[in-house]
Amino acid sequence: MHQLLSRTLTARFSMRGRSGDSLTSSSPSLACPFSKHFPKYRIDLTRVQPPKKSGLSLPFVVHLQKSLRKREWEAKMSTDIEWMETAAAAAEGERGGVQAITIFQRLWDCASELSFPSESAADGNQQQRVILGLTDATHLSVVQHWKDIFDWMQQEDSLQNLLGDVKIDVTLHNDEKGIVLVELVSHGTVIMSVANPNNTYNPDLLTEGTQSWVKRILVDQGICPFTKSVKLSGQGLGELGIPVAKIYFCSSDANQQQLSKLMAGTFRILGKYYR
Amino acid sequence: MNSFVSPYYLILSHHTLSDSWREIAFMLDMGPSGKEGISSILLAAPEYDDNFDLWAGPVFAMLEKGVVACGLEPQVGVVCFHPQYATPDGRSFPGFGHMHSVPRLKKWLHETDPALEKELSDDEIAAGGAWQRRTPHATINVLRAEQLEAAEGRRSSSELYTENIRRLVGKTDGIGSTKLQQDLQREQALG
Repeated sequence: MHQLLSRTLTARFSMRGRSGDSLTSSSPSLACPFSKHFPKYRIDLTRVQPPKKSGLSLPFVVHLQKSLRKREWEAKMSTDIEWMETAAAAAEGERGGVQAITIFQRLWDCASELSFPSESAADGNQQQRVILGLTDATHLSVVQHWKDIFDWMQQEDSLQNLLGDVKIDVTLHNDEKGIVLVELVSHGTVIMSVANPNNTYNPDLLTEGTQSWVKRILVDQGICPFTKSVKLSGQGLGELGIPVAKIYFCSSDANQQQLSKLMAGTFRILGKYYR
Repeated sequence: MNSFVSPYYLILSHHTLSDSWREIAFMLDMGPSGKEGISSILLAAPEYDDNFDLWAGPVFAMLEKGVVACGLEPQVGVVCFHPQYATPDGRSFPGFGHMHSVPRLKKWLHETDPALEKELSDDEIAAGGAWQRRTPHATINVLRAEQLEAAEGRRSSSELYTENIRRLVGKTDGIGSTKLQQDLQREQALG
């Protein structure tokens, strides 16, 4: 696979503008079916100032202060708050990521559940509200950037027909003790998440199909010189310190309206990757 | 002490039992090597098979921006595969998870194998690029950046892509789009 993907490596990209066309169905090209003009999409991330470091305190004092603040926030918000006991982002060192990934995954999960509640959780036009709490302000940029992406999704013209009537307002709250809250409130007619009787989703068969493709294209045709089997890749890179390792096959049953569910599933898998 | 809630706690809390068991089976299968045990991830999302514009556009825009937001750029790349994949025409930049553009592939063919470049039309070169990315279902590929970097140093892009296009759509000994489409449909029919 590696040779196909070199451009994912180093550069950062900024997509700008957009097509203005609805994306509810494929738009067959009038010309060659193998070539395409790609519309550009731009998602801007808000610059967030890192929180000031507080003075040294004994850990149990910090813990006590935060516990009190959590209770105060719960009283103020008049609802239960789902707390994620996050450590400071800096504790992750240069690897970064694993806590950010989990926060992203959980926020996408919350958005998905608000948009497509299970049958027992929803009631027509009833307003739904979820508050996720983080206990370290170093993750403020992560939740702000998630909000940037989520808001972009809700406002993107080409997605309006897909996403339907449900809108979710996202509000961030934070305090000087490092508590960060993400409040999600849904409006509009929710779509009940019920089982589709025609759904033929079968993870095992999907994996079988993808593995067949890996063998047929990547292995047998040598399209990726570093993938020599269906289950392992990285062959030929040992001298460079890259071990041969497994290819992980997985799938999502999210439909085209359930972009939040797809995102949650993808970040869940990413979390596994970085564990 | 790191008091962070394990991602696996969240998985077990918020996903179905069958999903959870699949994750547990995965962990057991991976053994003790942890993250070093996985070279890449292929995540298929069949409900997106008929909408390449959505998949390659907003979905990958949000994914790639999410990778940036989580500070993962130095570690991973996300790459786009789809049963209707089309090679960028070179008039716009679709992002880093996509195939090289038709003009660039054509240039590499010209440099590496001028006879092949003369033999193939631009549409056929585009097909040679697209078939490298046409999977049975809409697929997200996650790869480790360090592996990609190492792989980059081990091969010439122009030679590799030229050879790939020759094998897939070359007039003399290539598989051809008709057979490639049949094989893809057979794999799609699996699930």
